[in-house]
Amino acid sequence: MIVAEQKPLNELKSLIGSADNVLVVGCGTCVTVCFAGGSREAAITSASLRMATKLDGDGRNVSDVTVQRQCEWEYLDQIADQVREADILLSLGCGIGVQAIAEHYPDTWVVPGLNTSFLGIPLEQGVWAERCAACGDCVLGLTGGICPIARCSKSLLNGPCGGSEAGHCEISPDTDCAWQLIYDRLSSNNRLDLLLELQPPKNWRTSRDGGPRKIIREDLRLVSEEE
Amino acid sequence: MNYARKLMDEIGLDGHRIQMINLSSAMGSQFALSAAEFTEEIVQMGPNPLKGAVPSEDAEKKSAGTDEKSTKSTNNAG
Repeated sequence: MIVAEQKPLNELKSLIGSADNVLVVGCGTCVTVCFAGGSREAAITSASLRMATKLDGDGRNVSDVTVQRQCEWEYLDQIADQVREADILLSLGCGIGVQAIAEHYPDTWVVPGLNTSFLGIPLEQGVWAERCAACGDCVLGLTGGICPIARCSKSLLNGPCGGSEAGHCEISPDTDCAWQLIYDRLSSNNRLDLLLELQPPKNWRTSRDGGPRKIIREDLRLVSEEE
Repeated sequence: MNYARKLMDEIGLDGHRIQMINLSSAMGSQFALSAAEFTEEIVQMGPNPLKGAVPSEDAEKKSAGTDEKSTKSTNNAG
């Protein structure tokens, strides 16, 4: 899932500027699961902004609404009435949600309430860790299901490097060496042979290096026969 | 509790306006003592600063309820 964190309240106050009518928009998917931007957080943010601006002597009208997914037009259609009444939208969606709202409601100013952090998993309650860098050319089949792109600090394809010490990365003793994890997993599954094959330099054009990415599935598109 | 206090501090209210203690149902005298202490502390802190703040009309209507009270709670478990 996409993992995000809330921006500090002072930054949110700054982002809404002088707008009188603020609509906080939560998202019911990834950011709900990571307790950053679901209906609960939207209600808390909304109440916090009402109280904070009131204390500043400049009380604003702040309300909140949460859609199931901010990144799909169908769900954004459902809040058209509330959007119309708002001077500004404070999105508690990930960066995708913010942009989807901006694209769907071009005449309404939208600002982000979260810092979108990474693609990851909850390791335990209150702890999330990065697992995928969305590089567009998955190598997990070669590395025992442990991603060297997202989890090795250097994104090495033929690790480990000299900074691996006692299973930890040189950047921090709290960070596992991804290549140690890969070695241990391949070893326990009798697949160490995979390490004998040297990986060539990765083609990063499938990642961000190739510019903004887009997938088109002609078999799924709804196009008329004339087209 | 720490989360609620952090929110209160960020908003500009004193986070110490929220406190929680856990007591069993057999601790009646402790409950009374704690309630008296809470009361004394909150009186010393003074009135809820939001009460003197000037809100917009709609904001006042929408926020009416529990979110602007000086909250002191005891959780009398057991």
